[in-house]
Amino acid sequence: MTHAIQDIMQHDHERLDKLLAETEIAVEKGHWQEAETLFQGFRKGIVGAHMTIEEYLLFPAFERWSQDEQHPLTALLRKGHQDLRVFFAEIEDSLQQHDTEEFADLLSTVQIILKQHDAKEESELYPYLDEALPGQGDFVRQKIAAAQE
Amino acid sequence: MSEYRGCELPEDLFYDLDYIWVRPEDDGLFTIGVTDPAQTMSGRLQKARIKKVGTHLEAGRHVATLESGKWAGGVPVPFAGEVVARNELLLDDPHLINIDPYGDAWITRLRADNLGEALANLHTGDEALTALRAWIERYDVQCMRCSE
Repeated sequence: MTHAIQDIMQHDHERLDKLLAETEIAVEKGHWQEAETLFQGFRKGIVGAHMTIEEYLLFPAFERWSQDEQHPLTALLRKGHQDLRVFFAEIEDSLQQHDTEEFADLLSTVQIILKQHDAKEESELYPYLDEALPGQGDFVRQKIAAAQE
Repeated sequence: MSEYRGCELPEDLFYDLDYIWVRPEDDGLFTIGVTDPAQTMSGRLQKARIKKVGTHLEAGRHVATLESGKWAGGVPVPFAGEVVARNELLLDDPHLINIDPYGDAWITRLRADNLGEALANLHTGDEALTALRAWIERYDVQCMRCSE
């Protein structure tokens, strides 16, 4: 069975959102060790797999398909990734320092960024990827799944 | 003052070529704010959080976070240093950034850990303006400054 890239990536957004929400609940309960573990899983999934696949495979494919190597959409999404990586490092610091207020502030900002970023990807990028990268759905699925092991 | 696609770009400031401007002050401190194209991309700002005075930050970390209705982002510092002042006005009225990003809406003042190297990764003059024009094109920005 082949998998549509759009479905795989969209499902991964949902999985990652859930991990972030579970991190928030753990912090609210004061379960800092659990929160750190959950956030490490989130960070591994989003930075180590999701963003990497996008930056090295999906964005270049979209740029080739649209015949625009400097496409404003992928430029904006790459910039978003760059900003998010810094925020994730700051969230990790707040968890290590058990700083509830800092964690809540950072999480609020990150959730807004992710909501807007993910919506943009899901409406303006992913729908075109199966045409831009025919037959690559299983490869993408395997890479995403590998980060969950 | 240079202008491109409606975006004001003062020649005398230093830029990270992405989001912020830096102005070295006579007392050895550095004032930081966001550029006109960056505030345009952000939309009408509704919330600003700025790190407290005394906070030490490594280069690249966020000294402030800004939020509009649909957008959020951070204001990174280009060098390691300590926050010695923050613009309290912005905490109550972040929209000021949309009105006067290079003036009353400065965000923070930093004391650099290494004064001699604080500007090492920043750009100014013609080189900066050329790169900022490319930034404006890359993100397809057309600046519109709010008057109130």
